[in-house]
Amino acid sequence: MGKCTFQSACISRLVSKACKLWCAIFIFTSIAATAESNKQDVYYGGFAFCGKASDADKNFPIASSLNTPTDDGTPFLGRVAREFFQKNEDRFSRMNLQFGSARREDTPLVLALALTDEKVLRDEFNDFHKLVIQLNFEILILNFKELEVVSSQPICIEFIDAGKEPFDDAAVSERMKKMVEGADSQLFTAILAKAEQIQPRSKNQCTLQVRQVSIGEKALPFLPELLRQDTNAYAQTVAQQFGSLLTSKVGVALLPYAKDELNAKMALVFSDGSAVQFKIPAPTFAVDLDVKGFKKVLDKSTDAESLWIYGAFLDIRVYEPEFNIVYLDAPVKYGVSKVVPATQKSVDEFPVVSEALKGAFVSAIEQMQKDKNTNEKVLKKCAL
Amino acid sequence: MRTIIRFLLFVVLACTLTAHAELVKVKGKGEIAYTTSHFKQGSADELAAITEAKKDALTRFASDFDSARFVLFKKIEPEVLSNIDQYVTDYTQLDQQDDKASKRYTVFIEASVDSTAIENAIEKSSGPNAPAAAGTATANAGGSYMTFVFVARELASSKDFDAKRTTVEINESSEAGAQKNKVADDGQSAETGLDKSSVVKNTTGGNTEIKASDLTYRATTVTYVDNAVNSVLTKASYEVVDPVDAGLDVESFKNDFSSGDDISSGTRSAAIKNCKDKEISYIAIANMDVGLPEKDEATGLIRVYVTVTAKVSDLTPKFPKTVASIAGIPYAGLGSDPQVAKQNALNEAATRSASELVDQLRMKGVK
Repeated sequence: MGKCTFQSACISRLVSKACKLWCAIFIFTSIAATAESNKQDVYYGGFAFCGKASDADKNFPIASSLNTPTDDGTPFLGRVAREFFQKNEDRFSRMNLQFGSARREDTPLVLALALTDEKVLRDEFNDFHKLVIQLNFEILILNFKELEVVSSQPICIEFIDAGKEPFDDAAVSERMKKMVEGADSQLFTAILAKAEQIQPRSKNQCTLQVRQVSIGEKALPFLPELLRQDTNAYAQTVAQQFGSLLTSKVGVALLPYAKDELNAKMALVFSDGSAVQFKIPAPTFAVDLDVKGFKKVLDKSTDAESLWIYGAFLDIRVYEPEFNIVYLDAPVKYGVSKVVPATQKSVDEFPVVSEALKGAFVSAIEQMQKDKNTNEKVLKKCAL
Repeated sequence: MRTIIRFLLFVVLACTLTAHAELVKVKGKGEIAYTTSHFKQGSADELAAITEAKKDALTRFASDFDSARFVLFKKIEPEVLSNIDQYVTDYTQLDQQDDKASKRYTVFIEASVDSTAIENAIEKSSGPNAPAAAGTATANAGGSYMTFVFVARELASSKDFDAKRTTVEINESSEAGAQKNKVADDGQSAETGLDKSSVVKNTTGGNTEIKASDLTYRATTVTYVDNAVNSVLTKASYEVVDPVDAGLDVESFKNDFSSGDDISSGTRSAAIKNCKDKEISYIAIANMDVGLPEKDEATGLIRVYVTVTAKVSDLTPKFPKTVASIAGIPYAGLGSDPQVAKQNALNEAATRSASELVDQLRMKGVK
């Protein structure tokens, strides 16, 4: 009888333990499933050119010419982008990336890769020709129901080449193709590096936007003719480069820079020819960048070479735009050195000042992080 | 364990309940003067400042409403502000300032305003099912029927007339002169001379008569426009009667709008009589002018504008009176081809103009 009671007690203890274990497993799987289901569904929407449909050929002459239909009828850029996202959908771990046609009742969120800026700078120095290709992209999450940009990740890539012969459009196109084609291309390597940060904004997520960029007169002599004539295009590049560095270093929810601040809209022309205009919502916090200018100073000179210091001067202002609460308003400067051999008659200064400006951006971001007020009240609230 | 399960169930329930809420982010500022020696975080003063900030956010949200909707909002504002947490479901504190000298604490927030809840509150207070407020002269009691005729028209032909010029020319000529006779000193000979001047006066004038182009429209009623209007009116709790069921001669409306901007007196009288016979209290008549397709520069798509002129008449008094109207408001629609653009524009125009009319009706207490 005593043995029976002992066995019964053991069984009931075992049953009780099993029940607890099952409950624990149930709770754990429920929490895991909830966490997984908390990831929002986002449909892949394709590749798009940013801007007016009628201006796509004018704004992106080389990329447009490259975007011809491939053997399955999909334009080239649309196809390489789709193949990349399909192959790497697991890397975008902060959302459930879906492919195919979304139904009306499905999520209104769509991920698109948009080309926002194409710059081809061709220069001739002494006896060689130089080529710089700058491509700026935005990985956008768009809300098709509200026709609104939800979040963006700027991606800036650059390709520099030099040769004895001038670079014609065919040569530029060939190099641009290499920048964007294949999983190990510059573009997709840069996207994969930021894949973990790409996500729809959460409910209480604050946002940051580069709101105004001004280019000072003292910067103009160092810019190539093309950018000197169109400082808005340079401002767009400055905004995107700063945004790209900011998201890489701090990981904040960013909204795209709008050239026309009053009409904050972003028109996208997708590879299938459809064109949609999205509203860029008002950001929680804003950053204004004033590129005051560049300066060069001779540091040392010998018969064989001279050492020049190139400086970039920038003012950064971080603020809340509605009530104009300023968190940081500071000048930033950064210098880089350049050794010029005595035999070299002319110097290509734009890459040097660009490097100095990037250094100034990094210093500015470090200032934002070091400043307790900005870090606590802005960066942490916008953190992804 | 039970607590965890309850918590999970609560989370699931909360997610389900909030799934349909439409949240809009709006910033707000709240300021309070505190009476204690120093401001304390987490105190009642802080909560009061946050409540003020929520109210400010809601007021900023409402400031974007059009005039009719704003008037409706003003009616429910005290009730909304006293239950602010129902309408501002969430917030993020952006910043705070403590001015120790003046003992004032200011807080800045980004609030999530539940626009659906506000819409429901407006509907509840001003819709046809709302209780009539004491002292409010409503146009009618609840349960009244309303019918509508929305006619879309596009230009079928335009006959332009050349300017008719009538010229009048008056030619006048006159001559004036003097004869001079000169007799020689010896008296033997005489000389006669004639000084003459002539004046020719031309007067030209006339008038140019310009005759307005003879425009002919193709007028139609469109099912999706009717559905869109019906949807807006029904959602606003009006008792909508199909114009055919109301016995209206829709063809005569189409005929009138195909040649002019208004309906003829005959069509109007017949419609009013029919409605009155069937105890339909309100009739909405709208004319939607479809513009020519043009290219939208931003998207490269085709854009069509639809301009709406509409009016709602209250048929319950002896003489019908206009209780809501909109005149010449353009709405745009985009599409890959002119047909899709036109359809989108008509849909947009129907929905928005019907909403505007509903707001005006609610404002006047028409139920």
